[in-house]
Parts: sequence; C-alpha cells; structure tokens
Amino acid sequence: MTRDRIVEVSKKAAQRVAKAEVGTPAKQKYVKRLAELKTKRAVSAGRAADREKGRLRA
Amino acid sequence: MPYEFDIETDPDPPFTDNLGVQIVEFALGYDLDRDIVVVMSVMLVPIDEAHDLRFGIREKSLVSDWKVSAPDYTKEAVDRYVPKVWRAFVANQIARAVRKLVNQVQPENLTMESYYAGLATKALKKYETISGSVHSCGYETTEQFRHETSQKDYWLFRKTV
Repeated sequence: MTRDRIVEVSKKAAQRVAKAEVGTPAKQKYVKRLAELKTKRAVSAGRAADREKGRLRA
Repeated sequence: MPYEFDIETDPDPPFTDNLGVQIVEFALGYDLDRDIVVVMSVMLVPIDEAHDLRFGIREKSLVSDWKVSAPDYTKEAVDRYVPKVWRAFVANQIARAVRKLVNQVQPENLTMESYYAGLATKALKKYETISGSVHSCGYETTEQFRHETSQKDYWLFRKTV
C-alpha cells in the first residue's frame, strides 16, 4: 500500500464510523449496572438527608 | 456531575456492528441522569484491502435502543470520562482489546492514524503501546510516517506469518 492509500483508508474509516448513530442494542449488563448505581446513589442521598435531619435536630 | 466512573475489566468478545465494523468495547462509566453508558470502543474498520484500527469514546443510550454517539477521540472526552489515576489502566485495557480484535480478525493490512496533528514524541507513546500490541499478534510495521499536509501520523502493519 502506498502512503496516499494509507491516508485514504484511514480517512474513509473515520467517515464510516462517524456516521454511526445506531449501534447494537444496549447490553443488559450495562442496563443492570446503571440500575445498581442509581440505587446506590439513592441510598447515599437518603443517608445524607437523615444525617442532615439529625444535625438540625441536635 | 451525575457521571460515575465504573470501568469494566472483563469485556465481551469482539462483535460486529451494522456497518460491518468489528468492535471490542468496555464501559468506562455511567451518566445516571441521562441513562447512558460511556464506553471505550476499539474498532477494526474494513476498508477495501485493509482494516483501520481506531479507538474512541462513545455514549450509548440505555433507554433508547441502538442510539450511540460517534466515537470521540479528543483529549477533552478523556478528561471528562477517565480520571487521571485510571488513564494507564485504560491504556492497558485498550491494548488488550486490540490484541483480542487483531487475533480474531487477522487482517492482512492494518492501518492506524493519530487523531491530532503534529504530536510530540511523548504524545505518541500511546500509539507505540498499540503498535506493540499489534506486533505481539504477528504483525510488523511496514510504514510509519507523518503526512506532509495534515501533519498526522500514520502506520501500516502487515501480517508476518
């Protein structure tokens, strides 16, 4: 392959992947992990709120 | 920021997307408010007689099926989604993903292009690491040059066995 051809191949590849707006369906493991992180955040927020209530009462 | 870094250490085997691109991806983290997973996407893009190797950050919707952003190759995306202390680990994960992809696809010719132009030697280190991964799969570098017009760096690897 010539240097010009290498540049051309990379350019075409960049254009091809840049067009992608659709991929493959979201993997279930990611959906599951997102739900876990959201639960963790909600629990942390709840604890922080309880601590704040306790602090205000004291 | 509702983004949580949560790297996936054991990614799935390569898969092919609807454009025929072979991909290994691993989660970098999640945006809990936008319901997206942020992934590092390591890709082999078939173009005629070669495959082009690229890696970039993509956002994938977890609520609207099939929706994915184009790969983002910028330093800003790395700053946004990968904490500094994890950068070396992510680089290793990319190298592992490259080996998985190349070993599975085994293309005759493999090209690679730097995203930024006029990179200093230090900034080319990650590409050297990737080159090392490709070499470990039975490839040699047959061309490496900086393009006069764009000032981007290019590599061509060819299978030796």
